[in-house]
Amino acid sequence: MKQTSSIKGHWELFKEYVKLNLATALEYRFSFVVQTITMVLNDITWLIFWWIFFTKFGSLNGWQIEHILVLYALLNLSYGLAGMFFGNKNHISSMISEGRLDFYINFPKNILFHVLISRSNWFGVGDALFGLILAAITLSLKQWPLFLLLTLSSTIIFVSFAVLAHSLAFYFGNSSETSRSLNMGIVTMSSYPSQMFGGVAKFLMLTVFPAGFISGIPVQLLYQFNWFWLISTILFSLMFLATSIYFFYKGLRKYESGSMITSRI
Amino acid sequence: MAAIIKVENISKEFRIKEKEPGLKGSLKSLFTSKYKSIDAVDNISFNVNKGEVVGFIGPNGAGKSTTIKMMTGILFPSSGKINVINYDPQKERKKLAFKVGTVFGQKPQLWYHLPAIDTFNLFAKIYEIPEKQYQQRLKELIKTFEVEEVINQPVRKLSLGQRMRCEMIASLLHNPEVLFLDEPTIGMDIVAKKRIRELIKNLNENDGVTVILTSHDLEDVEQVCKRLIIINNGKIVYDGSTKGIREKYLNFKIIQVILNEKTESLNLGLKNVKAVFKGKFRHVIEIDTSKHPIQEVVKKIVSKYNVEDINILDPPIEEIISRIYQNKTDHKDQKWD
Amino acid sequence: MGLTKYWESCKISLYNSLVYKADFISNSLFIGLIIFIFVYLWKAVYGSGHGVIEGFTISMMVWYFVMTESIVTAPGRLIEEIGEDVQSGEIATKLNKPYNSVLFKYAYNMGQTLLRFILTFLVGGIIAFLFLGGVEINWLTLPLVGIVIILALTLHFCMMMLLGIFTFWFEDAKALNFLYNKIIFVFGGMLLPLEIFPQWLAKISAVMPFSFVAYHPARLFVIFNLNNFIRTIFLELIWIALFSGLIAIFYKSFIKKISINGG
Repeated sequence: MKQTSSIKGHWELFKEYVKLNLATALEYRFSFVVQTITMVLNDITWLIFWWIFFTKFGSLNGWQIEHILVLYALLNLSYGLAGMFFGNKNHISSMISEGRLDFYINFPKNILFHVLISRSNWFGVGDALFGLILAAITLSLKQWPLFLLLTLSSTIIFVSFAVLAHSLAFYFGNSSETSRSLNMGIVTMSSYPSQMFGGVAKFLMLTVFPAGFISGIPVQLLYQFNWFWLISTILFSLMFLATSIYFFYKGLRKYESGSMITSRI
Repeated sequence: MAAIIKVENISKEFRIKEKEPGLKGSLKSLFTSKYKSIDAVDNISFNVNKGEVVGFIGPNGAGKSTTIKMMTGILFPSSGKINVINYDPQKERKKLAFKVGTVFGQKPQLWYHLPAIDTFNLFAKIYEIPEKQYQQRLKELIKTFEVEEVINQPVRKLSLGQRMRCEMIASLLHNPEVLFLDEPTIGMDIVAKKRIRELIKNLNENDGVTVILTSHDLEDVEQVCKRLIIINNGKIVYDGSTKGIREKYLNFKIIQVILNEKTESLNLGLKNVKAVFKGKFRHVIEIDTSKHPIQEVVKKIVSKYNVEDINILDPPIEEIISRIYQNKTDHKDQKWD
Repeated sequence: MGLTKYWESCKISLYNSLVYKADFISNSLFIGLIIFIFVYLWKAVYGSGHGVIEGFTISMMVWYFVMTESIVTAPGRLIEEIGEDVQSGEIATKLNKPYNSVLFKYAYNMGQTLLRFILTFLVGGIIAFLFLGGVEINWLTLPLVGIVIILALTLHFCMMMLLGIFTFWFEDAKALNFLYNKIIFVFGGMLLPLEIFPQWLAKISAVMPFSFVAYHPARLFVIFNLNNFIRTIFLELIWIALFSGLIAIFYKSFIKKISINGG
């Protein structure tokens, strides 16, 4: 038997999980469809909010409704992809506190990668589709390559942020509520024009709470291209990913396999 | 024989949080948290040779699962050294994983809503088993474990015993040298338990797989393992042959008698008989079988009293452990072989 | 006896929620963040030369939002909670107890709801105060606004209870919760007061029950007006009566269904 865990091996694993997750989703077709529709309706209500807002005020620090549409396209597509292919990201903290990481540790594969791909949030399909449709409406063909590249970096940041937030459970026991709120926080923060923030908020958004790199800067880049910010965004997403991996593995040393955790933080 | 597992002076400490009861406690815990540390495993050492079947027993929370989890790399020991098949489980986790299989009775690995065969295919990908080799191995295992009819049904529809057999197949696909089984028979009925025990025995005898098994069912261990390690409060209190423990500590039995007439107490005129429970009709006694053979005692009871029902039981595991403990504190220097 | 059992239910839920301090802290942090975002949003809008928009100064606007947010998020995931009770049939096992299940749930939930309302209002109020200072309020009218708020929370409960019962037929409680919330966010005027809406939409939204949960109470809080107060209370009561009737009807048919199916 070949005893490596090559990139190819991980890719095969990834495909197998996509297949299995799809099979599970098909077992529950009805709720899958309902969830997808719900997500799209949810996105539409937010767009109605912005439509009301811009009908009244015209613009906000130079942003118009079309910027919001692009922002929602990028946000939905990247968040949807993160959920579809790395759907376990939102369950890491409960897996830690309930000792469900054991399973992954006993396999000859990268633990974090294996954890992330092994579950899918199929309602991410709704988000992703909605994002693609919005992008098709608002973007010109020339903007697409850049749009997809930025979507990729936003997806990476979403996943990394979730890993960071949920790894708190290694240190504090059951942190699912806090981790979930942090995640909801970053999504919420990313769904507003980042140009309106200032001061400390702006600093946080470009560092530990990187909503700026998820949506604000990418949208700006699509309208006013600038090499410096493109490279910064991509470098940042990679660095953020590395940090989250480091933090996860450092925490893993403290993993208690659900043995002794009795209460919540 | 070469040691395949070497465990030297390992300890594991956990921190647990304490909360006072009631509203006051809840309010207090809003602001402060008190921790207490507990030694789940306290300076344990042992070796396991290739081809052995070793049973770990002990009451719940004794530290047996924690020990197994450290051997497979799930937990990091607070101190001490572990070596499994010449790998350090914490540093060389992936390499080790190719050579060991694990089954946790309380943490199923099969996908609940899908047929077991789907999980097998996934595991083949995880272990990167070449397709041909995988199909052949799978065929063998399905035959040995007699699961032809169930592997295409969703796992949720299988019985506990069928599920466990499939769990074991999943862990054996990659031909592991060492198999860790944590509570494999938990919750099963006697027939299913018996099947699983036979399968484990065969696996060891025919394929030479080294097996480490934990259970809190003494029978599991007695029937499958030649060697036994008893853990209590994080310490090894016995490490030796299974036979040996029977001779040394299982020299007493519990007899429960239900009589047809009211009786104050059983009077058998035997020296080494202790009354454990005295009811009007039900009586429980404990006898030392090295002094009085069980037949003798039963004969005596039946001849002397009008018996409705009689039951002979092994003492509970906690009882044996406490006996070993007493013994150990009595002769501190005695070495357990 | 009488009402004391409902009061006890209310108290137990208060204690119970204190145990979940993580939920509480993270919940307030999240709400704090949203209020923080809206402070910046309104700063950006008012910064470009508006002094007063439709009768709202910037601090009125932010305090309005603090109030709507506090009311709307106070019941938590009530629809999902009721949904669980309904789908597991647990609500039916509570039937033979000597109390009205719906009223009991109301009392139980109100304990937590009020606590969360106060907490959110404090967190939001502090943020609003730090960024924009206080808002001019006639303290004498506060008790009156308090009544409107309690009725708003009651109406909110009624609508969520009804949707919770619906989960018996339409199983996905999460989806219902999500959509109901979004409707309150936008059409109930939680995010933006109806004055900002295009006129036709404002007119429709103003008479819908959703705006009596968010818009009307919060507007009375920042701009009190006796006529509006009376009108709001009157309409709140009508909507509560209407939804209570619907709950009674659907609850009965739900109970019938379970007793036929044996739960």
